[in-house]
This record gives sequence, C-alpha cells and structure tokens, in this order.
Amino acid sequence: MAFDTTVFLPLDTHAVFELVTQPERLRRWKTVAARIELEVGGEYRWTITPGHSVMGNILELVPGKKMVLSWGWEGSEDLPPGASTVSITLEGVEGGTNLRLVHAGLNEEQEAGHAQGWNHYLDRLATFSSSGIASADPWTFAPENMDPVVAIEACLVITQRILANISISDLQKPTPCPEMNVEQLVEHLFRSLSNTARGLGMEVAFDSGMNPEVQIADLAQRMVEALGKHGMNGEIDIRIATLPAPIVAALMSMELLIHGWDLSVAIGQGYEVSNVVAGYVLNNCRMIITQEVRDRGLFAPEIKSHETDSEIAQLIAFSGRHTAA
Amino acid sequence: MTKFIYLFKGPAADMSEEMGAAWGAWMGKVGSALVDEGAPFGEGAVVVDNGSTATPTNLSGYTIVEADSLEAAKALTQGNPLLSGNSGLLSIEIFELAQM
Repeated sequence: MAFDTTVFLPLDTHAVFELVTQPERLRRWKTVAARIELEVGGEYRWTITPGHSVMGNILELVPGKKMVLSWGWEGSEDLPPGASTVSITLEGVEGGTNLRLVHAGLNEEQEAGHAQGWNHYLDRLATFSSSGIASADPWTFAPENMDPVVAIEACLVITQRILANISISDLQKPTPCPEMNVEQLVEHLFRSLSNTARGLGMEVAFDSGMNPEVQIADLAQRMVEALGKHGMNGEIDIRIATLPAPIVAALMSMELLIHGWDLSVAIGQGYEVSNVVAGYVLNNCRMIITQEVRDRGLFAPEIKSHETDSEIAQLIAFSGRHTAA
Repeated sequence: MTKFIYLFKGPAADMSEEMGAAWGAWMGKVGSALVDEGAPFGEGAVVVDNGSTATPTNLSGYTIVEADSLEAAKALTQGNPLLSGNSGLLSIEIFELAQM
C-alpha cells in the first residue's frame, strides 16, 4: 500500500527543497525539532509532535529535485525505523513547484493514519508557502502522553514560536527578568540548556551570529534526544550541581516555558499554552522550587494567583512574576 | 549535636531556576541537619574601635546546620552549589556555635 499525493506550492524548487530538508524550515510547518545529515546514507530524526519522533536514513538525494527517506517511528513496534519509505519529488512548473509525496510500505491501517498526517502537514506547508505565516500546529498543543521529555518538547514548541519572532530591533528590549534584556535572556536560556547538554556528554559552543531561534532549537534538539536516551534514572551533572534526571528534565521544561513567557512579554506577543502543558510544568516547579529555597532568598517570592486562573497564569505567578503590568 | 554556622563567602550568585533547583537538592540532602536555612546578606557596614573606616568582608549569606563535629559539618557542605566551580573565589567558612 502506498499513499501518493501531489501538492502545488508557489515557490521555486530550491525554496521547496529547503522546506523539506532544513531543520529551521521544517520547524515552520512539520516538526517540533529536527536533525538531518544531508547525504545519501545520512541519518535524520524529526520530532513531529511531542513524544513522537520519526527516524531513518536518506536513501536517495538529488539536491533541488528529490529525496527518498526510510521512515519509521522511534520506539514503535508497529512501524519501526526503516519499515517504510517516503519519496519526495519536486517538479518545477509555471509559478511554482509540484511536490509529489509517496509513502510506501504501509499496511491499510498505517496508510489511513499516515494519509491523515500527511494531508494535515502538506496543508500547513501549502499555507506557509503561499502566505509566509507559520501558524501554531494544533497537534502539538496538548499532548496526551505527558512525561518529563514530552513536556520539554511541548514547551519547546511554544518557546521556539516566540524566539522565531525576535528581530534584531528587539534584542535590547527589557524583559520581566530583572536586569536582563532579550539578548541576555536568550543567552541565559542557552547556558541553562547547555549545562544539561554538557552533563549528557555533548560539546556546546555559543555562536552569537546565529538567530535566537536556531541557536536554542539546535541545542535543544540534541539535548532532548540525549536526555531521552539517558532516561529518568540516575543523575546528571549540570555544572552547579549533580541532580536526579527527573529534576533536570523538569528544570528544562520550566526554563523554556517561563523564559518563553518573559520573551513574549518583551516583544509584545501573545502566549498560548494548554492547561495540560502548563499544569504539568507547574507541578514539576513545585518539586524544584521549595518553600525552603524561597525562605533562603534564593528565589523570588510567589505572587498570589487564583485557582480559576489558567495554568500558565498560575505558573507565571509561582515563578514570582506579575502577569498583569 | 552541635550547631555550626556556614558563612558563604564570595560574590552572590544571581537567582535562577537552576540555582533554586541546585540549592533545593542540597537542602534536601542535608535534610534534618538543616537547623536554619538562613538568609542572604544585603547591604553591610563595618564599625571599627578606633573610628577608622573599613569595607565589610565579602559574605553573601548564612545557613545553620547541626552536626557531631566540625569534620561532619564540613562534610555536609558537599553538593552545595556555591562550591561547584573551580574558581578559588567562593568558599564556605564554618564555625561552631559554642555553648557556654
């Protein structure tokens, strides 16, 4: 069985090829996070929604024209990596490109599921190609399978959307974080993520030349994948302390979601977080920021919030920030 | 059991989620030996007997623990975030709170 569809996109083949191969482009319509080694035999991993990643290798590659991938879901017995094949072929036509996608090697049930998925994402690709507007993907908004790593991926979706809208003129704007402007807060977030990444054995370098979204997203992709492999047993050395893995995971989701909010306020952009995600992170925060720590003056006092407030408003209040200016 | 005071020496760290988590984990490890979580120090001044002026020692805060000995009190500092670096600029001074 194969799913076979063609969509017209009003962009040249070069631009479309970038949209299906570059992590920064893929994040606009298809993935939460992505890495790809762009050569025949190269490995790729795309996190499509929080907790669900596709993995495989590049089987064929003709830049600007064609890419064939082996396709399967990480951790799946039903359709494991390598179990199916996705071919993407681009044909330049008047006013744009025809993108043909063939997903082969699926049984009837798998084909039905993947058809729904591809239609959803190719619609998003068509919208982004014609308008340049990358809307939030509703499929990433409220994951049903929350766990410490899924939570980080869910927070990443939200924070990356804010980061993607930071322009050079925003960098010096103040944030709700005392004594930190937008640029400094992005660096702070990078440092926090890199402390965990280094604790997981990675080498990390800060490149101030990259845009904030790419900087954070590339690092976060590697960190989250490694954290998933490490699992929730044992401890991780995050430089200032060696902490149990679940605490480190909770810390990562907390940093992303709270500083994402800080940045959204700084650049005047709305911040929509589902109660599922914010509630999960808030519960973790209560585990991390104990009353003792606040009493010692090591964390800002909690601002009073109401049970009727949204979970994200309660989380922001818990972090010692006022939600209303 | 004897009480010991920790005086944290060196520049104070900025408040952050990481720092909160790290201190929380250390406090959890010290457990019931933590008598008083203490406080960070704010502004300071020195008064000298001859009226001369001096700058206060660079202390950032205190915490009080309970331990069997000075050695045991030293051991309890293990995992404190202040000691996580290798700068030589940060230290914890420990004194027994002697019972007269």
